[in-house]
Amino acid sequence: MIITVHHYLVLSILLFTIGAIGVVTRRNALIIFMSIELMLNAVNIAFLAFARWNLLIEGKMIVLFVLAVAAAEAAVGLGIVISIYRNRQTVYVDEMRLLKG
Amino acid sequence: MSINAISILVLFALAAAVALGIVLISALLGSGRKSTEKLLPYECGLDPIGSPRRRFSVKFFLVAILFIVFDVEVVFLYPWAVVFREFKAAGEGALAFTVAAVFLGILLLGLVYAWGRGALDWEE
Amino acid sequence: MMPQFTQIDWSSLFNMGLPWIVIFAAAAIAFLTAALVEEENSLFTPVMTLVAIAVAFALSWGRWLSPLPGLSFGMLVFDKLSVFVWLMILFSAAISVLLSIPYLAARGFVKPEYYGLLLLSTLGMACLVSAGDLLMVYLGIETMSLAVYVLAGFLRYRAASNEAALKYFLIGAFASAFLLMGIAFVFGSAGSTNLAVLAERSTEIMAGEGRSFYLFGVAMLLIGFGFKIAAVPFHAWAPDVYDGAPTPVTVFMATAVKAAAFVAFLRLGVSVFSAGGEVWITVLSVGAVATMLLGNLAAIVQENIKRMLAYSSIAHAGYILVAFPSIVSDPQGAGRAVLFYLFAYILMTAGAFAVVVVMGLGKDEPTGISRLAGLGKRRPVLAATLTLFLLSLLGIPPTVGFFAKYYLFLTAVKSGYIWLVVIAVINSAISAYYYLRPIVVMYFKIPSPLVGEGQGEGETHALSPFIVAVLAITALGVAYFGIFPSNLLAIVTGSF
Repeated sequence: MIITVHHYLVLSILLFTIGAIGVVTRRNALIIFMSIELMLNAVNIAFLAFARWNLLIEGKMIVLFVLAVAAAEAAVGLGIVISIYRNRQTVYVDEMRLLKG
Repeated sequence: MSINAISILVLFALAAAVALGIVLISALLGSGRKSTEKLLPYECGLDPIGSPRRRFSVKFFLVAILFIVFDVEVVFLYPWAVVFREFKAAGEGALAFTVAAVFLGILLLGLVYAWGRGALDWEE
Repeated sequence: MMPQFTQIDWSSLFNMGLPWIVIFAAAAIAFLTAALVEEENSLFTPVMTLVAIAVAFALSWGRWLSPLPGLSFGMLVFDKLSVFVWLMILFSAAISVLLSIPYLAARGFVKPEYYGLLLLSTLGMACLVSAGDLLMVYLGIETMSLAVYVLAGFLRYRAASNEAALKYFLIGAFASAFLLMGIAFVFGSAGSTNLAVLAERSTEIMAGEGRSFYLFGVAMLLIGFGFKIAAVPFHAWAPDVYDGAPTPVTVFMATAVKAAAFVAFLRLGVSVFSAGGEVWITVLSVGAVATMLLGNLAAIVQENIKRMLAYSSIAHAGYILVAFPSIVSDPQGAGRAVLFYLFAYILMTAGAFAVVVVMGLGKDEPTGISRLAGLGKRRPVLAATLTLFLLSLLGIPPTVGFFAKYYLFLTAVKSGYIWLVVIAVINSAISAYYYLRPIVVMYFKIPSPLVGEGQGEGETHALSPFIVAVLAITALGVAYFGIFPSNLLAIVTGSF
């Protein structure tokens, strides 16, 4: 069996879907965020596969940007979760129902 | 399928067999009696002190957040370092250096801010 | 194609980017003030921010007036469109700063970081509206959003503000993942992320074997943008976030963030929608109808004016989407109509929210519509300006809102989407109900002291000069461009 770009894409889409399902079904803000990180890394796999397939260096370059932005996002996200925890002692999103209507 | 791929598969099969085998053998031969000693988490032979589910200071989170940002942003210096010699050879070394210096300057600004706001002070 | 690093004309890039450097320097000063100055003057940072915005505005204004053609650096494109939208963004940033000064002072929560974050977000929007490459679109959206996530939760002692920040952050990150997946597949099928290259090649790709990847990629991009512009069915976060965030930040989100996202979407649409148009026309029209209907129907039942305006902003996103299917046949007309609408929308939304800021200057931000009872008697001028903004949002003739809608619908009719325009007009009629209700409450309802109606805490103070400035500028803009819409049309025509 020869492993082609399509196998990597299937893997990428599977991981992306798992991450998306995690975001929709989980209730813990931290786990939701981890699922989003899984989605981002699935995208990285797709970028690398396409970069290899098209023999273009840009795909690899974009992955570096995605990694760096994901780190910045993690920092902001953790900061927000900490400030929520200080006020409410919870990280569960279904306990956050102040804003409704 | 190449011979390499087959050997890797064989290795996987062996590893799985050993892992499963050990679990099965200990389940078959073991007495199943539980004692305090056995149920304790293994900490290099020492008795554990207190539960691991302790709340720890929010300062750890702060340090972790700062670490992850500064750690990952440095990833951009790797490709820069790889091509720097080429730029130097092409007579564009000063330009490449300036670009990296601007980038590091922005990071430095972040560091000064974190420092000035006391995010790096462990003792308060 | 993308120019090589050494081929970039650095001096002209520096020249073009000078307004951005000014904004960045101001942000740096704001953060350094926060870090290094012990007892800062509470007015120093906002005034410095306003000065920086004014300088950047003047520089960009000169660029907009100059007859030189646009410049493209591959990743960044400096044309009339990007400069014009950047001017609109600077304008709404200035309005947010002006509103923030009294708002934060009333809460005793004056921090220089607030203005630094606002400026960094503005910088992200600059990248977004000048983006000539999908990677730049992503980086611009992220820079813009990361700062706004923090701003939405800036009042960190307030649980509602925290909650808004968390919701905005999770949804925003989720949306970026979709956007990125779309970029990956477009990159995979087209071999480039450059928008100019995509525009050239998209017909060829749609005919070739990369077709399915390309369609999937663009669909994912649409989902990503759908979240960012709060189009149905990706709108659910918007009312909660608009409601929970500090009101000046809500103004910023409803005006600058939305305009930047829409213009990036417009640029993307001009590049990719022309090939395989039928599919995207269907998707965009269905999205427009759903967004208008849901936004308007949900706005009717709101008791809180902040939430009502949030749903109204969803409905307006729907109206703008009405022009998007026309991109395929008439990109120039659609682009101009969208720009005209965004300009008008920024003016009237900023003005309406400024009145909400006045209502919420007290401790617990009372923003129920019933609180407006009797405002027409207590504060006749304030009530009159709010009436003007609401009528403009509704689209009553001598206001800019009417002409904005008119040009939008005219473009759609010209391209043959009459059914879409009929639905949009019906929706405007529905919206009359909730836009007229606050007016009725202000002028005809007698406040009953028992349920705490009327006399919001903030009203007891004299109006802050900053808020007066915002109200005056936006009200004048709405009235002036309502009476002389051809002036605005000329500006817009020169920009796209």
